[in-house]
Amino acid sequence: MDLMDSMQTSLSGLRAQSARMNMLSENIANAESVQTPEGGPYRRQMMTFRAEVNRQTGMVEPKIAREYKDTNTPLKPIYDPSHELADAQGFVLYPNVDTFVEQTDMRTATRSYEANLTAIESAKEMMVRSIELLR
Amino acid sequence: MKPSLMNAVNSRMDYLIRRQGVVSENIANAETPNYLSRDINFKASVNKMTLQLQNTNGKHIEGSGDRFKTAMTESKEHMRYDGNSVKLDEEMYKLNEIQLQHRMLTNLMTKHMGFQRAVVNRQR
Repeated sequence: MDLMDSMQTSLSGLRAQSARMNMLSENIANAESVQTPEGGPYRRQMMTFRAEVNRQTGMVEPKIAREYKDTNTPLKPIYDPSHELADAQGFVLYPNVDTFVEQTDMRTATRSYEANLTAIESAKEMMVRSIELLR
Repeated sequence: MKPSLMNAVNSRMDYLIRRQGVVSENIANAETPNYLSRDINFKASVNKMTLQLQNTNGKHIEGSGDRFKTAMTESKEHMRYDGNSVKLDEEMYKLNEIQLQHRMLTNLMTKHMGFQRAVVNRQR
């Protein structure tokens, strides 16, 4: 392994975190979507990572293990009898998205993303220093 | 291997580059469940260097024992509920440490080459 390989690893970290950030922003954007093509309100999306050895570099990289919909958190019934989709009691089911939770996750993802960037920067600095030995 | 400044610097440089890789792995996997934060112990990696696989049969393949693999340590110190033990701030600290040491080594090499150049130039 060399510095290029460790940059590759940081890149995989960037990729994983940006996929996560995309998913989180979808959740936030759809926090009020009461209807979906599949029927029913939007359900919060989630993903988990798993560590996988990259055969080319021999280093452990994060990969998306599973993308799924959160079915554990209940949907939020909101009383709004005038709504088109209200049931007999006047309740409309809203997505099980809590924007505070999503924003906290977003913060973590951003922090992680930045850490990977710093790692790339540090590998780059080391490489430049080694190249400068040739001068 | 004859002990010399360049050999020592080389060995340390190898270690630093390898450690940089390990820290990058840790940072990349900061959110991966069941991933344990890893590090390499320099002392252990140097001690391993004297151990070499012996060829007792002509058909044996030359042993390319990775001295860093055996010096790898896993820490469970900051383990979270998802089984991950990476602390980003600690990894950042390690990155800085590696960078400073690397800087020192490259400066040392430049100096050393300067000495050699001085010796060569004197002979003219």
